[in-house]
Amino acid sequence: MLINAWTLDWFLILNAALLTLTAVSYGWRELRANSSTSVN
Amino acid sequence: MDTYDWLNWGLLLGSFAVLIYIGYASSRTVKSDDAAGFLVAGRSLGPFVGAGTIVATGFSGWGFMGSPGVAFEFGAIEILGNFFFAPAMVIAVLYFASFLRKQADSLGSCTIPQYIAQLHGSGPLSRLVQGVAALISIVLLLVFLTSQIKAVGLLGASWLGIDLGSSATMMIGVIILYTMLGGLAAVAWTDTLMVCGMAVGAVVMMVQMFTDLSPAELVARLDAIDPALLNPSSAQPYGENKSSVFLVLPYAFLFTAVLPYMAVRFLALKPGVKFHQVAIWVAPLGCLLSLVPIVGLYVRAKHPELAQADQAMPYYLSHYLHPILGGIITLFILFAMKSTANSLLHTISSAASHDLRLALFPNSGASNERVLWINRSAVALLGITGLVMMLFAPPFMLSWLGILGTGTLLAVLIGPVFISSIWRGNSYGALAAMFSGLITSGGCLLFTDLGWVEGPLIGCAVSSFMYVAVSQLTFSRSPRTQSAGLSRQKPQGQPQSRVSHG
Repeated sequence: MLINAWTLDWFLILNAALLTLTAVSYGWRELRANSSTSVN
Repeated sequence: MDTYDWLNWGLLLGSFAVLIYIGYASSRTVKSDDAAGFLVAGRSLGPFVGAGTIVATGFSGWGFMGSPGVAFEFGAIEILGNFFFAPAMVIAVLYFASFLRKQADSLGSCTIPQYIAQLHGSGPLSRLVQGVAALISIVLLLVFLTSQIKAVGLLGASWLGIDLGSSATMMIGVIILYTMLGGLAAVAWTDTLMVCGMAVGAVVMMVQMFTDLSPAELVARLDAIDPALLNPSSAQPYGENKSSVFLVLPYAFLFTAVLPYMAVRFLALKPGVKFHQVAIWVAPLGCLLSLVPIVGLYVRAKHPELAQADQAMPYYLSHYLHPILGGIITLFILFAMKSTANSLLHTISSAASHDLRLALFPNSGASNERVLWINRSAVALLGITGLVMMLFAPPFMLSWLGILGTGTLLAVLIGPVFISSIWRGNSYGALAAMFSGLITSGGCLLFTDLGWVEGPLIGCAVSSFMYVAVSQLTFSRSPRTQSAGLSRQKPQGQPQSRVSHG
């Protein structure tokens, strides 16, 4: 438990997960797009 | 009028001027060679505008007015439930939008009913599918538009000290004007401006609340009032079981991926735009706006004796913010409502002027100018219809038919829009899915105690089953069409928009 409230714990965990996963997905796809461009 | 009234009027009229200017500036887009200019902004939206319009349309006035009230009454469960719209939008953008855009682009679809029709067949049956999808969308979304006009009218009336009728007429009048001028481009650009205002509003409210009351103090106060506000034993108002709140995620995903007024945005992006570039804006905007219902918890902690839960946000604005700041935030809340209302109006009018027209008169041969005139007239006509319904329809009908509208429309369209991306059926399956979704979800919401999430989800399950079952049984009579993305063939009997209006 982060702050002794399951509702807010889930809220914080999911917020952090969403932002992190979106950023990682963005970085990975940009990297892949750039590397395929440089190969071409 | 006192100084603050003048300020409020100044803010409102200034925002009207900017919105109408954006409509005028975007009217160049609708003068492109085909109907796509008005219906899908000439496929011209970049990643930020695409993200802005998706988030602004998805987060309606509910997030700013209704949700804080629910948080005041039920506690932090609402903060969690409301949040699920953010990940749902990101998932839909990352994993579904690309497929939908590719298919629709290859078919030349400019609206979701047209996409459904072209994907499932050709000829008279395909036109019937397009007509039915358009008609159900118009009926269900018109009720939702009416409730949005009422919400914006009520807030504007209390903000400016005028009557509801004048306020609603003024607000919808401006929305009609800029939507007529610029079609979806105007809607998307104004949405983007408005979502920036909404995000600023969310930041201002968070700063005020957490400088006055630290998060730890807020939690401690709520726990002292009622521990169930933070640690409820059920997920009410989402359901008895704690896990019911997580059902909002699939609901919100389908909401973003399937509903015509959300999904049409995926068709309007520039061909070179990648969806991860859209998602990187959707995620932070969505997370930021999902913080707004915390206002309900703050008011509960500071003023637990407030008699009506739905007054949490108005009470907050009038008691905890400076009147100037309160006025600006109220404008941003009006933006949240207007950004949903303009999208609904554009979708309903497109369904009437494009889909019903093509379903009834497939070979009308109208000129581009004539088609644009029809599209613009439909915006005016249906906007005025929404206003008249708001003024004269019974209030009890408007209060819950809005939920029936989107939830039931989701159950109607899940088969032909979403299931079809995994397993493609035929026109008979699409028709069966639409009618069974309408009856099941509508029946659950009207005649049972199931909540606004569970009823439509049951409707979705029945509709999806009927889509597959009826398609399987009728493939001998109506075979599955070739994959649009692979064949890139012009469907026979169903004129492509680019061809028919180009």
